[in-house]
Amino acid sequence: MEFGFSEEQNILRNSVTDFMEKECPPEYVRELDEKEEYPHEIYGKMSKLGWFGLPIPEEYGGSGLGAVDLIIVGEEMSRFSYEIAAGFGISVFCGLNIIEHGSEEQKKFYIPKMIDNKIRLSISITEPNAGSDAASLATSAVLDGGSWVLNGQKTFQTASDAKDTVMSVYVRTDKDLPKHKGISLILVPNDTPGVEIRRIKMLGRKMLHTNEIFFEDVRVPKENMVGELNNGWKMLLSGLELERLYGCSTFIGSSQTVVDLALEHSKQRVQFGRPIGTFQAMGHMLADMQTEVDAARLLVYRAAWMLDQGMPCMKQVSMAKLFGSETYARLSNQGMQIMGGYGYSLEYDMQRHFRDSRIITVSAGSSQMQRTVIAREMGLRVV
Amino acid sequence: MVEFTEEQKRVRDTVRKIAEEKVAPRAAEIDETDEFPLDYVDVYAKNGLLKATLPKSSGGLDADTMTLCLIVEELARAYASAPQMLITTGAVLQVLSKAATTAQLQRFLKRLEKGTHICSFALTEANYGSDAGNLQTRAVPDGDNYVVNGSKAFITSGEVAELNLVFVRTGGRGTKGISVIVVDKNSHGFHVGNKEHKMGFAGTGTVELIFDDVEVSKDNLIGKENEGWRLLTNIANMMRVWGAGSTAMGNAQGALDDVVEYVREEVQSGKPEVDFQAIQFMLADMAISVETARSLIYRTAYVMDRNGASFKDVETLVCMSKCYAADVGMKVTSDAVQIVGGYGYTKGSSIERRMRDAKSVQIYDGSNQIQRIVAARNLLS
Repeated sequence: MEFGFSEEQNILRNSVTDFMEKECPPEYVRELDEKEEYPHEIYGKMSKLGWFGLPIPEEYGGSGLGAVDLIIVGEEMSRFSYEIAAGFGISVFCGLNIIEHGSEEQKKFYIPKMIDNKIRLSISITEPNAGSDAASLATSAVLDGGSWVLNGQKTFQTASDAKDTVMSVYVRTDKDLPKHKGISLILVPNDTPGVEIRRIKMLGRKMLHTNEIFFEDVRVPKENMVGELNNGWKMLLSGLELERLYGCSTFIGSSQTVVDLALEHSKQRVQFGRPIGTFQAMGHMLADMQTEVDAARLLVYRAAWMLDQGMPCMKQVSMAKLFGSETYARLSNQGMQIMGGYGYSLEYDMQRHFRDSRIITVSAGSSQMQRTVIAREMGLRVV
Repeated sequence: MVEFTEEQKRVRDTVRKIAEEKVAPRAAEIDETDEFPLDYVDVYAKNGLLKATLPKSSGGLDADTMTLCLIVEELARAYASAPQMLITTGAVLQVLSKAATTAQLQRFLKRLEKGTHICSFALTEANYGSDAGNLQTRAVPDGDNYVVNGSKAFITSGEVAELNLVFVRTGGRGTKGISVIVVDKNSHGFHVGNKEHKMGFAGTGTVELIFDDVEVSKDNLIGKENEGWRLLTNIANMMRVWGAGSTAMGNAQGALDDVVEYVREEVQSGKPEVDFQAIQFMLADMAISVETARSLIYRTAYVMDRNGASFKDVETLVCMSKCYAADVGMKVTSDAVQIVGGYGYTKGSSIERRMRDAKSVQIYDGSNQIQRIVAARNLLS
């Protein structure tokens, strides 16, 4: 059993930490959160270092990193900002999907632009009546001459309104086939005529924005379809392990920061003549919190290692998602409790963790869906 | 055991109507603007609720603890912030009616008639939260007056309060050097400072209060000098059951109401969401939690109203009620967000607001950690 990282991995971790310490101070994150602005500036700097190409194969201009490498990046980045790490992942994983299923022309056209930060990629699945039951999506695409014509509505779409974003939109291309079989993937630039994006005010995710998207006779060239017609559901599920694991890595980095903030407060805040962290109830609460972060971290590391070995690991990934997301949400609540009124004040960072963490047990496969996946992997026909 | 009197039922039904017709429709707007809801003040005043804790002889409702619990529960069921001004005002008037002289009480009540009737309970300071016994705002005798200097933090209703019940240091260190004085908002040198910018609990007028050489007549001292801490522990802390406890529980009940309504209509994977057992069990657990919190609160109110139990037993029940109801409130509202999913996380959804508001109850009015300290101390002593 080997718990260490390779030397390259240690260097990778250090370089991410060094960069984030320099370019992503708490004031920067606070300001973007308050102004509800997309982190263009820092993504520009990351792209200069080639980060958006980290998991992209070398033949398409990337570095070809594996799962363990990538979660190191996510963990370190999210220690400084959950949202910046999350938004990074959205572009990168949409890019990997194009690598996996797209045509040679699509790869050569979109991937270098994504790596150079000239465009952003976003994903678009959820609809008002298709949430956990995503395969019920109804937004339609009909071929008309050389174009696909899209009509319908998506909701809860993260970061789709950032400038020059190409959206990976899952659409229904055949209503007569069973629901999982009539779905396709089409790339739609967010400034295409007929696309209307409306921001939904949310409790958290203030930088990346969450949107409704309306498609009204939106025409894109036939060539914008990724992969084969009616093969979208398979594409949606492919690469899911790595994408989820990267998400998990952002939960553990963020959770660690929550513990660090609470710990620092408990050392500095003096009540009844001593630092509150020296009260046993507080000390034990913090001990539990760090234990939970480490447990979540190990679940993520294990699943990433399995993925790199080519082993099936859907169950382990789902466990990491379930436990990691619940941990971040629970810990930010406890961190706020430890900081008392200051934790509840909008002038401190803990409330941002509380707000941002609350959606992660809901989004990208809710905790309930993860439990269903785990139970099915255990041989139970849970419905 | 829990059988309400005709009077209690009457008050509850009146408040429920107010909550549904006047409070609930404004909740989202107040949450958005963080403005102190003066329209609530009007409705509460019209129905005598601001003076609920006063005896009938002073124009009050002479409400017992059970009645206060029902009032706060019904309001919080509509909007958790809504009862907060009643809680601060009610607690201050309760202290005054029990510890002030008749002349003082009449003078203060007359003063309140000229304004909004709202009072604040000014105990917490920036560096003395849980450790309030070491507070530093100082009142120094000067002829017929005290001169008050210092500041208070996180003071609910302080933005608009006519009178502030202020805990000050008049003697030596610790809880034995603390007195209680009433400071009028019109006093020279008294300033309402910054509004606390909070994650939730909007519209509660929570501010910093600043005392800059404020001269306060010695006639405004409540009870004896340096005996203020007893007023806190013997009278005011008991408000935690009908104040924070009922706020948390009413808010949780409201979240449960909302989520049940949502789930009935929602369809996922081709079947109604109510058909999923995981959802059913979550709902059942939420209802169990709310009901046990309610039972504990009602039992505590019943014991308090019967006047038979020892101070220690009552204090323990009050601590348990506040702590348990606040934890239930957090869990139930968070589970409600989980069930409703993305829609429950959307700004302006009642469920998202209830979760943010629920958090503050675990922190304010003696954090849940302090409640556990007191409960444990009473168990062990």
